[in-house]
Amino acid sequence: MEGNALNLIYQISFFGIAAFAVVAALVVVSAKNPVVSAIWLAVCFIAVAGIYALLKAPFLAMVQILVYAGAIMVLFVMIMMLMDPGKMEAGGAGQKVVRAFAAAAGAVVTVVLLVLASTAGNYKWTAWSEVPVGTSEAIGRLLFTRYLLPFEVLSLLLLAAVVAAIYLARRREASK
Amino acid sequence: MNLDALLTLKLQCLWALVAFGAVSSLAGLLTWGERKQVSLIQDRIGPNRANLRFIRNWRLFGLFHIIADAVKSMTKEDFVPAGAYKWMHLLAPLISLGVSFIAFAVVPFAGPFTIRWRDVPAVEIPLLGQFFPGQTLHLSHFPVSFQAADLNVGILFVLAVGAFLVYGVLMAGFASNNKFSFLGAMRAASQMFSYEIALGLSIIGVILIYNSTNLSVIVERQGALIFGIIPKWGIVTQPLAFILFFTCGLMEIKRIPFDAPEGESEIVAGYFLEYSGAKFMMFLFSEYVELIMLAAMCAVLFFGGWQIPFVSQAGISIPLLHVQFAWTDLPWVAAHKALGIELVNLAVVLAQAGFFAFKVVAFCWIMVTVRWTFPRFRYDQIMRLGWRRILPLSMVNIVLAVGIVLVEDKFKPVIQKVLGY
Repeated sequence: MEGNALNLIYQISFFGIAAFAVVAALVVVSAKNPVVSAIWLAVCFIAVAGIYALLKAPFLAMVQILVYAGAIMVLFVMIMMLMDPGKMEAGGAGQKVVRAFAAAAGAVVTVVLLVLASTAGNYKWTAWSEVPVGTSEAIGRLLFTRYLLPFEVLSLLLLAAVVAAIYLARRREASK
Repeated sequence: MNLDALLTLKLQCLWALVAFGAVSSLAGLLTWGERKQVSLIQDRIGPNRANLRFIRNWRLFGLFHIIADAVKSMTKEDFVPAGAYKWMHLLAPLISLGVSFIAFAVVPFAGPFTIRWRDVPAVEIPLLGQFFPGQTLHLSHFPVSFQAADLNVGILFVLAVGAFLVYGVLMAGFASNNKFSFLGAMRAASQMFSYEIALGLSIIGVILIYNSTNLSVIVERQGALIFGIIPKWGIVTQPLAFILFFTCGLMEIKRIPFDAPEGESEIVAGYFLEYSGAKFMMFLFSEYVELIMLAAMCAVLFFGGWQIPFVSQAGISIPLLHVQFAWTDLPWVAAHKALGIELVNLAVVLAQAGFFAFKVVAFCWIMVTVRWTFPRFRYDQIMRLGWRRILPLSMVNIVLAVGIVLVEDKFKPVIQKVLGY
């Protein structure tokens, strides 16, 4: 009986957080002001971190918040630098094309998700409490053994991106 | 869920409330303490006018200013600019204040304490007992931790919460629809880029040396002794990391010399320019809560948290000098057996909590002194400091920490043998 009660609490929390994340994501795409969108994006990521925490992956939850808190701040500054805050709410000429593309992308993602959901029965499911995948120890061990090569390739990719960013910024500075 | 788990949960909720109360009282005291200290520095008297008329104009060192300020700000007009984003303008101070309190959930305020009494069967517990028929509450050996949430990723939690501190500032600056506020928000964002990575990197050395991201474990391991006499506090093993962390922390809580987002002399009051009354008070209060948070983190990561040097639940011990004293050797404790040990343990826990509070208050004092001693950095200077000085130094520090860990693993037994303890 106690296990059931606990399960119920988890279920309620999951659906509450998931609904919150979906609503936040909807506000992100429907808000007229890009800054409002950015802030709701942060809210959405916090909700996703909450789902990670429910799945007993505290490390992932914290990293999710840490990484995206900074990333959204960058996004915010980009918005401010690339757009005129006064004219933010006016729709541009390219809006319709952008919307069409967005709708198409959304449709593709929905179809993929539906296909995945319909084949869910083919997978072997394990209870979340049995596999400690989200702790820092487990992730560290996996990153340095089984996924060492992809991990190193990723860090090389990031390094290349950093070098490229610095090169681009420098070149523009020099041409001034 | 059984009775033990329920009691643990209740104690955690209770502790969350106690921590909240302690932090808010200290923050309230600091609003007065800071003004009093600056007046000492500037050779003035400071706030001393608020008094109780009916007790012979009782002034109590101006402590009534805390209440007077609260009443004053609550009764002032709450002004919202016409062009403001109304809900965001309202939400910003709430987020600032709320977020700054959250980090205290993982701070260990005192050492673990074990209740050694007797097992209580469910029948003997009024009201609640009937829901758990046939169970017993194991009070014969019940560990109590003075920490609201013992998270395994405590350090990351604090960093994640800290990353969100800037969101309140950002929303306030953006929602106010005022150019000065907006400049303040942009400065806060650019400041965040310059400190955040360095802040994260500066404590990696601490994580490596104490081999954990759990704050209570880190504090516990700082109780060890180097060479049998020097407490293994973070400041001893990672002095460079402490300086870097403290600097980045000052940037994070936007205090002078890193208060570019406020910059009274340049952008009036920066992000909270358009705030008045209770909302302004919330920003002010959250600043003090953040200050206490930084003080607590410095104490936990680098100054042994609740650790008192050489003193533990077992007794006093300095191996190098062959000082060994167990509490059970005290004649009074020996005479009272179990109760005596329990009381001594309780006294030790209280002393630890007091020592932790002392460390936190000491750091608050240092930060207030810093604020009234240094001029403000220009914000390009802040960026240069973050990226060109602190970031490389924190990377050097990680290498140093790895070296320390290797040396410690190799030579600890040898050193112990040479020094003979």
